[in-house]
Amino acid sequence: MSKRNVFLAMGFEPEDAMILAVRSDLADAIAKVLQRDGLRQADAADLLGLPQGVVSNIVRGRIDHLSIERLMKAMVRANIPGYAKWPTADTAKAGVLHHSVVSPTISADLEFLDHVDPWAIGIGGDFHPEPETH
Amino acid sequence: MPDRELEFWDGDGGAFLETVRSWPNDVRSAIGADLRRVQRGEEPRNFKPLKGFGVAAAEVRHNDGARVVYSVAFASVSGKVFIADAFMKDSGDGSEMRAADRRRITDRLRQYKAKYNQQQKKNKKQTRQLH
Repeated sequence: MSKRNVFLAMGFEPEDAMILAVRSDLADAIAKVLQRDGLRQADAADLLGLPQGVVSNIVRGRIDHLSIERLMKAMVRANIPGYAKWPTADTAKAGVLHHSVVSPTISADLEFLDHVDPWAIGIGGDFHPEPETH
Repeated sequence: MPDRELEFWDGDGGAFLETVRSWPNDVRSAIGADLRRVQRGEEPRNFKPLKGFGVAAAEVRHNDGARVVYSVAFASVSGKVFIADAFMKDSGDGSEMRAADRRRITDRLRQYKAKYNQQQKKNKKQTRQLH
């Protein structure tokens, strides 16, 4: 038997296996930056806007209670790239969204996560919100 | 994103995977996250190298904070991650691998390598026939 999504092989339901795969990849991307920059957990918590306990879970690879949404928010805040190409905190503040999105091609064994290059298939582009008219 | 495929020992009808599937969610997700790092060619967080197997082998471990250590033994063979075995042990047993576990893993690695070599030979033969 051959698989790419290890969580699926370890008996998680497909939907949970996909979430765990994304979650662990995002947590790893954050952990790598923290390690590279030699940040203490308290400083990392400030940078990411997360409680120190959550940072500790990220660093230790305890991913079962992490939230993808929370991880993504922290990554935008700290300008850490991940699956999608999201705006930096500064450009987001200025109202410029440059983003690309992973196309979730549904596949029984969830291999799409391993084949799709979100940077390549993104629908990136600058989005300028309409000025409010009163 | 992981680029190495996982291959599981299937000689026992997947019995050892059933063992893994019976482990608690937090154990499986932590070990899974580590194996995902291995797939990317990175070092897992909690692991111990296994020596004397003839290939790069290691076990990823999860200590549940009590006495139980969950362990998955794997080897990196020609760009693939081969998962050979999974077992639990008592943390009081010491860090040495039990002789029976070692024998089983050695045997499975040997069989996997033989299967892999045979596949390589077959591929080469097919390539020759095409020319």
